[in-house]
Amino acid sequence: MMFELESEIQNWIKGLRSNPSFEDGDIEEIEIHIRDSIESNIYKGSSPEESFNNATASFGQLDLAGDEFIKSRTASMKMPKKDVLAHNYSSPNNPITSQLVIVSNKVKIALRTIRQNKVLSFINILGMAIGLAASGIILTFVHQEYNFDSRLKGAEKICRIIEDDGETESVYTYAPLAEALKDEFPEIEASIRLSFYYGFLACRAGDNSYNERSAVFADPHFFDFFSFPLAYGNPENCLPDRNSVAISESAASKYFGIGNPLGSQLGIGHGLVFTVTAVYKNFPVNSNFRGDLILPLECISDLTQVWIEPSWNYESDIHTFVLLSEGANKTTLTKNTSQFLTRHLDNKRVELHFQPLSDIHTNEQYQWEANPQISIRILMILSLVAFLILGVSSINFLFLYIGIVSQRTTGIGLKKVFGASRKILFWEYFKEVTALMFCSLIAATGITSLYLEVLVPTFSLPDLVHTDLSLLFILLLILVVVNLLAGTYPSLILSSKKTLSLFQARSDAYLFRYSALPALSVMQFALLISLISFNLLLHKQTRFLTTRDTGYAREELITIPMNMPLGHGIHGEGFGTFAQEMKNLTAIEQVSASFSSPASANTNTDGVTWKSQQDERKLRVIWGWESISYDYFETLGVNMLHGRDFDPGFQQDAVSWETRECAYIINESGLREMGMDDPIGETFSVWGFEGPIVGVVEDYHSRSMQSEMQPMFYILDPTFWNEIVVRLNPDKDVRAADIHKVWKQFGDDYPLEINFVDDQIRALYAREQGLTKVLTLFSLLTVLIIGIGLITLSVLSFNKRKKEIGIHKVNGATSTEILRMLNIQYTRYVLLSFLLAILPAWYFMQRWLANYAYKTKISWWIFFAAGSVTLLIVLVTTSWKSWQAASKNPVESLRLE
Amino acid sequence: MASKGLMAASTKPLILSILKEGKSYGYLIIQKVKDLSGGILEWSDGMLYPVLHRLEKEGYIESEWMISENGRKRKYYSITEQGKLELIAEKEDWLSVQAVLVKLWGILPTE
Repeated sequence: MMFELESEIQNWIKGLRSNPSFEDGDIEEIEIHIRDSIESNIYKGSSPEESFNNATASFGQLDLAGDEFIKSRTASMKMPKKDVLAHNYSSPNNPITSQLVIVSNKVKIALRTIRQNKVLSFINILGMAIGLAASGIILTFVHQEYNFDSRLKGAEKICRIIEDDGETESVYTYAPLAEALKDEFPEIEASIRLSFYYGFLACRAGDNSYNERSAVFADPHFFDFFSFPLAYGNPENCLPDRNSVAISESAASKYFGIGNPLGSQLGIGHGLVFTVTAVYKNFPVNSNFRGDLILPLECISDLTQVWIEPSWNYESDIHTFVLLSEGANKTTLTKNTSQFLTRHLDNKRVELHFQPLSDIHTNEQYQWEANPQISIRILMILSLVAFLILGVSSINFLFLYIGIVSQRTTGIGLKKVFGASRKILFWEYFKEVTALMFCSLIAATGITSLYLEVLVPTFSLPDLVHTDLSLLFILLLILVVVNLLAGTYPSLILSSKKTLSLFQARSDAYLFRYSALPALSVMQFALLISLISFNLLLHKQTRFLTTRDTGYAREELITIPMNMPLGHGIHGEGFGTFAQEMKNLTAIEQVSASFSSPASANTNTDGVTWKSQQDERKLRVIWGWESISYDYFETLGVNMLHGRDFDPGFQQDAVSWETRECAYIINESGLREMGMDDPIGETFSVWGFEGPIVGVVEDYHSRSMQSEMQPMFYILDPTFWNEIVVRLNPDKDVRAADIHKVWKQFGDDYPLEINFVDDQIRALYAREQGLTKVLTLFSLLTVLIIGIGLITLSVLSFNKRKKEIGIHKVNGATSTEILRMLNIQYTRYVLLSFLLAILPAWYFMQRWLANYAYKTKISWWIFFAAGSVTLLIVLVTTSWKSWQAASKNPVESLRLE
Repeated sequence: MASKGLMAASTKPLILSILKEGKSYGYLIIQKVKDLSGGILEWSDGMLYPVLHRLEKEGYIESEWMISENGRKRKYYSITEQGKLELIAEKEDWLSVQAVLVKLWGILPTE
């Protein structure tokens, strides 16, 4: 056979590697030496084989050299102490450095053990890292949701006022309340009024014009009360007069580019000009505040339809916040303030509650809440999932580590023979586990930053800005516990065993009670099946909600914000001409106007009554309402069931503010609510406006299908128009430029914005879609972690069963047959877990669907698919090791018998 | 050939002396020792490296990985200031031992 120099060198190096005396750096140096030596031999005329033999011979015996290498490494530790003072601290003779050498040696040894089980250790580290990262991310998110605005100065003393009139608890308050509270109660140090506005504000600065969709109208000391950081301006007086505005940094760059925009002019609405007096850093994601504009509360009625009632007559859309003094008692305050209120309110009984700032985001019980909230139930579920993931990955980590340890009981036996105590064994494992855990921790940090840098922007997942050391501390504590458990378990078990048994090939059986394994795997599979089926149901329901027939021509509708005040441009009288001009475009079928987009009406009222109505309680029924223009129902493609649509031929149809009269149209559900056969001509009344019902329109979905179809009434009042609703001809291409041309003639410099109703409907279910996204992510993670768990199990049972497999093979079974035999066992587990999972999963799915008025069916295929996917995952992950076992030469597994 | 104990004792001054001439790597150092001693001091190559490592640890020499002219990575050793002092001390020790021995044995052949 030919002499292969390179492979001989590699073999020789391999011999070095298997000798623990040599470290990586040594091996590298020795390899270079051998190659130099061989080369110079060849140069002198020897054959490659001779050269190799010479070189290795002159290197000497590896064992002897190895001993010297070890000695050289430990030499410094035995240096006499007397030299210590003579050397500086960088000297290796220094005791501190010696300690470091010892520690670094131990780390090296631990890392080497990890390397010896490369694949398994990698899997173990990865599983733990994913579990850690996922649970860390989820828990941080939950923590963040519970701590909205908690970083503000004095946040724990800031409360929002809730007015409780005995029937409803509402966030709307009386306008004079804030001032009065501050004046009369020493416990209340400061107060402020805010109104959150989510309509359109047309803003202009030079050539830059946009529709702003959210703004806060506030008292002038906003930034003094809420300590949001300012980029420019003075927090004590950020809104000095009614023509001043504070803008966010992103708005500043949008309208004014780079640089300090203080003193610049921003046109808002019709002809009003505001001076920028402050620029604030964008509100963080963990804040109740959003929007790019903060405007003086006193100008709210100049810019919007919101009316602030200045007297104690009734409440307005105003949130009142107060800053309590140190040690103020909320219960006493509630009692005292209710007496003071009775004085102002003509003996009407109203109680004030003081809601902590951090409670606003998660407490869903109050009426007229302005900002998006998250339900505590979802946060609880998320926390549960986080702990579940952490638990499953910790258990897997433990078991896989025990699996790894059980492969080298012989070594442990040897150590015991040489007198290793339980303590020594414990430290041995503890070091190893700690090294593994440390690697997982580093990997988890990597995964977390991957989430923040890549996943958050790509899939618009929740960003995390709230960090808290206490949470980190809890996670680390859990880690330490798992770490201790994983370190203790094997050392306890192993040190309690007879040393001799550790040398027997069956020794792995001692490490672990195998009866626990099937139960564990069945539990994990059941969890997986439930998660996958719930995930599928979520997808199905979201699809159902977004594609279900809304009862109107959703695909053909667009909306355009009517972003000018009444009496300007097309808002009001001008609308008829505008609609006519628009209809002249071939692509446009019909044009009308309404209060809200047909996709998302959320206007409610109570106090609806009609002539033949006797029941007082009916006054409390919540009706939806909508202010529309002529041709609205035709635009939507909805039919009249009785009577007629509003008609320009009937003068009395439109709302008259002088006579307080108007005509009404109601929907089918409204008709059912009234319980009348023929409602046409019946006198209908709400808000003090009276008039006949002229028509009944068929029901259609103008809000999320989470809620039941609602009774609705329609009026015709241009004051309450916000949206232009346009029906397109589906056969013609619509060009934005054409619409823009018409718009220009009427809307002078108001920005034109075109929104598709179909998109708005999808946006209605953003919460469902968000939940779907999050759950999909969790399911994938759980699949990963459980997959890792399965590999653990198959490794453990592989060790246990390899002899059994060997005997099967000796008796003539083929590898495929053995694989099938092993897989049948796992198939049984999956089947059992399927039976276990299906009922609770079905129950929870049913419960979740009960939140929706309109819901998809829980089809059988959801469970079937979840079961099949689980089975597939199980078989794929276990076959890896099973195949290794089945295809092995039986001699290897049986030779020790 | 020299005895094992003597060889072990002589490695330190030998290596320090060689490195005093300039930095060098393991294989070359061994070749130099072999050349100089003409086979009187014959180490197995594997024994040299632990000595180098120990000297490094004691602070007499230092090392760095460098890329040599043929593109091969090599660990080069060089002597430190402390090593130079140590070499002077060693030299004195060895010379005084030698002086004693020469005095002891020198009488016999010449007289």
